[in-house]
Amino acid sequence: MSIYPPSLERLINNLSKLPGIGQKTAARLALYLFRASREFSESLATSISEVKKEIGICSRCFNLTDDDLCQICRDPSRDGILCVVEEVGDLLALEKAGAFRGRYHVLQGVLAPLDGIGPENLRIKELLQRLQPESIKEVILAINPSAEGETTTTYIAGLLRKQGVSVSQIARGIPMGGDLKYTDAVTLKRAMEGRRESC
Amino acid sequence: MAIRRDEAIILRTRDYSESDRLITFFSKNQGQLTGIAKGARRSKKRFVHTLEPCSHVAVTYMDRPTSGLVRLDASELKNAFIALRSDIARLGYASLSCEIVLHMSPERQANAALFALLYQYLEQLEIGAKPENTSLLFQTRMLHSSGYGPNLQGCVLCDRQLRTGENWFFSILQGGLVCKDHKHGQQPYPVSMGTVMLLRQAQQLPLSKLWRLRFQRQSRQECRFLLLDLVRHYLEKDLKSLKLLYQIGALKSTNNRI
Ligand SMILES: [Zn+2]
Ligand SMILES: [Zn+2]
Repeated sequence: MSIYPPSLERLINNLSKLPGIGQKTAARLALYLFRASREFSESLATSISEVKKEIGICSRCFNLTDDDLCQICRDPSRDGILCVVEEVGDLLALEKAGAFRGRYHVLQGVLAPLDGIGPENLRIKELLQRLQPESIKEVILAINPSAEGETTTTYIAGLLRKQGVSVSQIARGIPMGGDLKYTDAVTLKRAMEGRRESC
Repeated sequence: MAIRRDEAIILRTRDYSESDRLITFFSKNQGQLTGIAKGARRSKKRFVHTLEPCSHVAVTYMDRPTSGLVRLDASELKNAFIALRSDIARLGYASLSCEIVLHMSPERQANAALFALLYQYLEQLEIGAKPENTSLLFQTRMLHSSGYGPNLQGCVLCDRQLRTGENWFFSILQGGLVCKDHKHGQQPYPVSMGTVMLLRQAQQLPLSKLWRLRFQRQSRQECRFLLLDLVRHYLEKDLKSLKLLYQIGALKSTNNRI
């Protein structure tokens, strides 16, 4: 038997499904919402349902969008170069940093044999289909340098080169503020491989 | 509670909570264990890519008798088998073996022979050995050293010996050979004498010499699904890594069962 009335119990159960929220926190949040003003709880409920109704996935690059194409794909000044990322969060980080001014392509994951994720489960086919119509000459692979990410990078780079596109990948190595002494062997190896002429 | 240090191969990693990860590893002295790596998601510093599947690591963990899970305190990379990352087929086959060990080795049961087999298998893939051949050798040896046979001395349903028969078949249900008179109702796979002799060698040769064996075309075709189906029969489930191997064309999804 629950100690809460059924509607409160439902709210707690729903909140506890959110990432990082356990039963205890969910109960605290639910009680807070119960005590909060009617305007606040109604505005929260509306904004949740609006997000589900209005935000979709860009049919071209798989970024978040409120239209068929996302803002970046609609911007005519951002063309020519494509940056491939693992997920939307990575795209947003690059945008926030202002690090890149071309278009993106979100793979929606990486090759993960142990999770049963192969090339057909990622947006690789869609990536290759964009090359010609958008006259893409250069692709930057900005996939996270995990084992699975590195495999994905090599695999996609091979496919793109076959299409005659120039391919590069983001540098991997010592992070800013890092220290060689405390850096592991794989990173040191990659940092050496990725060295460049000093400016 | 005891703090242990051991060598291990990472079999699987999963997100556990907002900041932690669950790591399943096959250790040399304690067999398969699953541990919580606190903070492995949020701060990459402490476990910086030492917890990737198929990596060989030195782990320090706290064994807690009250919980099935151990607490992973440190992990130091010994061999990341980096070359696997440059070839999707090799990574696919490496993952397949980690997945087989994950499902077939019981928790907390040391099996030094299996540890050595898995380690050498990854090492072979790393130095460029042919992935399918290496994988077939691994599967044969893994089944044998885990006590699953299979029986290759003669028909498991009558007394007929290998040298006295001609047409031989393999029965998944019986876990061994059947002669032509006993193949009915066994969903048999035809196997040539050459294949049977090769499998017997793969069961018995010293581990260091195992990797010299070659499955020629016919044996490769005969064994491709026979061994995988045997593994799946014992596991009573499918293997996720096969999906990627099918998708990249490393395995064709036809079966040679008659
Ligand atoms: Zn877009
Ligand atoms: Zn018989």
